[in-house]
Amino acid sequence: MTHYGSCKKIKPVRICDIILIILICAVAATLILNNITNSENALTALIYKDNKLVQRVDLSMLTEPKEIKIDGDICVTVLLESDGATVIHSDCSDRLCEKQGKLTYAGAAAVCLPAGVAVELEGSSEIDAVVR
Amino acid sequence: MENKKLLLLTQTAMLAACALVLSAVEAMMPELIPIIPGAKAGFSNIAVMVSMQLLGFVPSVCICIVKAMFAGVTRGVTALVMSLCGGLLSTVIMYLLIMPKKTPFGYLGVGVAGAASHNTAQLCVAYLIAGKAVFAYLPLLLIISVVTGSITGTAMGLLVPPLQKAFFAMSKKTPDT
Repeated sequence: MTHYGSCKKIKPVRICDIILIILICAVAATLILNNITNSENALTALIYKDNKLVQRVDLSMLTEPKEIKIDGDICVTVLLESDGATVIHSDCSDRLCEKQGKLTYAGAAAVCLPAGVAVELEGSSEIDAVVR
Repeated sequence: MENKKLLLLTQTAMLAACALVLSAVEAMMPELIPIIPGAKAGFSNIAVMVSMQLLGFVPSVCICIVKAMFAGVTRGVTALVMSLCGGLLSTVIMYLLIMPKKTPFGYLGVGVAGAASHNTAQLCVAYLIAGKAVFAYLPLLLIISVVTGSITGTAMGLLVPPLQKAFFAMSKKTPDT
């Protein structure tokens, strides 16, 4: 059942490990670059509650900061400004979404799992693609 | 019960206890990575990896379940489901990497693959709860899992050889009946 004696020897580091690490880093870098190139000046804040879109606000249209309260068993308050979005209050116990701070680039997100609320920034979607 | 089975049960329980202590210590530590709130180093994976190498697949899955129950008792149902899914996926992935007779992977790769699959599974659970916005965390989580996975993989590489000797000695001393 057990195999302490016949247990095969595994080496600490093999070439495949390095390849795996490079691969994971490459995927991560691609995703980050993708987000950066997508971010334009016009940001749209999307607020989801229980996996459904409840609010969609074009931040460039905001002239003054706006607070949005998402009701539910656990209330979450989001502050929207022209240059980003911040979860300023959550009734949950861990407050991880508050610690996420201000979101300022497209693709950034703050998630409150206990409340099922997610705030996501999206780059301007007026023009999806240009065909030449 | 056969003595050998009893020994296996005891060793599994011992490693499960180690996993719980590691995750409790980890919870007490200040947050390592302020960029992603809630990201953890996953030291309790060391116990799972050691048990995978020394005891086999089934005991490792049992340790994952115990870990998930501990997370559920201390941090709620969401934590239970996330810990269970992350633990099971990473156990299966690590087992697939370790299992082949001439595996091309070393401890480092196993650790990194385990950490990355653990995080990805947890994000998928988070996706079901909060929507696709959670995948914004994916790139940073992957980079973090390379770092934490290297740490846990190295720890596994250091711990397995002496523990293997100790476990082998225990099994020799145990009479068959």
